[in-house]
Amino acid sequence: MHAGKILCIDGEEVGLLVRKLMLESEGFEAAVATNGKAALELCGKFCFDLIRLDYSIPGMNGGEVAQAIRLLRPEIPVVLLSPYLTLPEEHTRIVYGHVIEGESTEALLILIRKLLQREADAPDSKERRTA
Amino acid sequence: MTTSQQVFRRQIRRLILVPLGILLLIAALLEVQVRRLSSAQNWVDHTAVVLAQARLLLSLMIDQETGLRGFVLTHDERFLQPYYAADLALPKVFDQLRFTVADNPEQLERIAAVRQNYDQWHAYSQDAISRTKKNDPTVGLVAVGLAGKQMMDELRTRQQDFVEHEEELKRWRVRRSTSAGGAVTWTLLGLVVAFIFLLLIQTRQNIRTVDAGYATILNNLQKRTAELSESRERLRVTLRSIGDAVIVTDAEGRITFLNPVAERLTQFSQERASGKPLDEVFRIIDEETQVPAENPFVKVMRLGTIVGLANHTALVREDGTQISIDDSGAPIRSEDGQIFGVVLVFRDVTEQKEMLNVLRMNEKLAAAGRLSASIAHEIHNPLETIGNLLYLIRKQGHDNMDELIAMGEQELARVVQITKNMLSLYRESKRDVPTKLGEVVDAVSVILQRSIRDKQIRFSTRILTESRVSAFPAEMRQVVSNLLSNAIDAVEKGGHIEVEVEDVPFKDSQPGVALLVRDNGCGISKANLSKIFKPFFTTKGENGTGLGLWITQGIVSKIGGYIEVTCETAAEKHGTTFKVVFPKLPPDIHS
Repeated sequence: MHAGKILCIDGEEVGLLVRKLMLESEGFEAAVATNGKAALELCGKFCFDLIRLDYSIPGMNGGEVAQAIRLLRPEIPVVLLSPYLTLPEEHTRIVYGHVIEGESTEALLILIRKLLQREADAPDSKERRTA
Repeated sequence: MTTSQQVFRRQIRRLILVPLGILLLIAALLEVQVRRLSSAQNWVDHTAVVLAQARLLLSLMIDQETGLRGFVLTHDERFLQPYYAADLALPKVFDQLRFTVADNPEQLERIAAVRQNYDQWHAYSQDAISRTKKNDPTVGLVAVGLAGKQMMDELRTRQQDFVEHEEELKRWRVRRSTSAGGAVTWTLLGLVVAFIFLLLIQTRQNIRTVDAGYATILNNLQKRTAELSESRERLRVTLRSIGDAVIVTDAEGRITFLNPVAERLTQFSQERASGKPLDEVFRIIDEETQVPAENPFVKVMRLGTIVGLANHTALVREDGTQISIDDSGAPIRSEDGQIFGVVLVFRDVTEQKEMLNVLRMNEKLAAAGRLSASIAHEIHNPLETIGNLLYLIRKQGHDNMDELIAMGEQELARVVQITKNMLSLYRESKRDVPTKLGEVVDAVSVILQRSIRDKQIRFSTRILTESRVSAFPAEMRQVVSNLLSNAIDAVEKGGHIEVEVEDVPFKDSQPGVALLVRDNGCGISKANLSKIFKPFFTTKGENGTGLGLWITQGIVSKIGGYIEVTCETAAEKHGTTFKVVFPKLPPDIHS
């Protein structure tokens, strides 16, 4: 039994690989995408419990990817990471958490668990997920 | 002016010509009158001649009668001497008389009657003489006397009649002559009076016209003088109330006018400054080198055109304090183009300069802020990876520990590389140093790499020269960073940006080095092109400060370079090229 399926989207492959290893060591199932287009394709094929999205990625920016995911899978929580203190409101409004880069690995894991827990408590989404 | 002059001349001409005409008229009239008078006088003289002839006739006839009587009485022939003498003269006298009164038929008739009577008497006297000579006793004194007397009386009556008529004529003619004389006098008098009268009227009229003309001219003159002094006053007031300082000099460079602002800035009052040479009151120096600047009066006179002051000009006030000023000088020309003075307009730009400095500083900070965000991101990614690796290693001695550590070292090397780049980029220099333009372009490109990649821009740099420019590295970086950021903002996703650094000829065929940033963005509209170097002009809405290009230009011109913008907005090959040309440092200078 997995703790949850997580999709990581980032422009840097080394970082993605390490993040995948780290999440898997915590018991999560992790998938990676290096740009928005690949991420949306994965979202169409698989069900994820959470998406960890970098704001600065090649092609579509994180905000645009978040908007597209929202249309495709409105129930999946999205954690957006960016170096910027302020982001356009239409992007922050639709994500579960906007994290300023520089948080520790532990802090990020705590946030992920909290979001997954909240989702598990909501019967609607649970139903849909198991269906 | 000319028309009133013409009117004036016409008046003067009339003043002379009209009396002249009248005088001629008077002369003609007088001539006629005098002719009439002289003809009347002639007739008087004529009558006198007639009368004299008539008297001569009478006296001759009396001589004959007296002679006849003496002879008849004495029989002495000597008494007949006057008789014969008169006998000879009388026909002549008759002829003369007839000739003289030929113009008067009445008198001619009378003369003829007298002649007839005389001829009767003469026949009788001839008979008496011959009878006396024959001693005819019938010829007695009494008989002769009676018959003769009778005839003679008749003759005398006729003669008297003639003379009376002639006398009558004479009286009439004298009267006529006198009246003609009177007429001449009166005519003369009348004409003179009329002339004087006319002259008076005419002169009065002329004087009035001339006076009116003169009054108009005087009036105009007064009006114009009033207008002139009013406009002068208005100009003076305008100059006095103008917000900028104004100094006016004469053609020798001596001050003639200072407005209150100029008085305040120079600390010289109008009274004290008046007449002083300009450079005594308006002492200007180069703000940075403190070297006296060229006297603007001399410069204006030398060039003959409007001149602006060099940048960084300071005015040294009377108390020795300095204020930054912005100034221009212009020649004052008369209508024929002669320069008769110079006007200087300047203002205190100390505050403005300070404000601009603050603006520049703010933009520098904002640029640094924008850069630091992207640097933080650059550094954060590898740091996060390292954090994740350490977390893995700590949690569970991983099977492939060496691999994880190697990955961590790799990421750490990346961070070090980035910070090293940053440090070299931000190593501040207190003075301008030889700076390789190509290196600056490379360093800034690295920082902007993420934005370039995110927008999938095809970005190419061609560094064709190692040339150096004397500049502050931070400022040079700001120039390159501003131009590249603008290009990145200008292009669409997937657009192109080409950056080139190459050697080009500079102004005056000196060697130069150029930075070209070419994008295929939407281009800049003609209307905006003139504004892009102005502060606070931006097309980026809230994401731009509108200070980037303004600062860029400030830095470039400080280094001694210039910026050229070429732009194409046509659909098929739109885009913008910024070309910045700097003076190139000779290779031997770098150390």
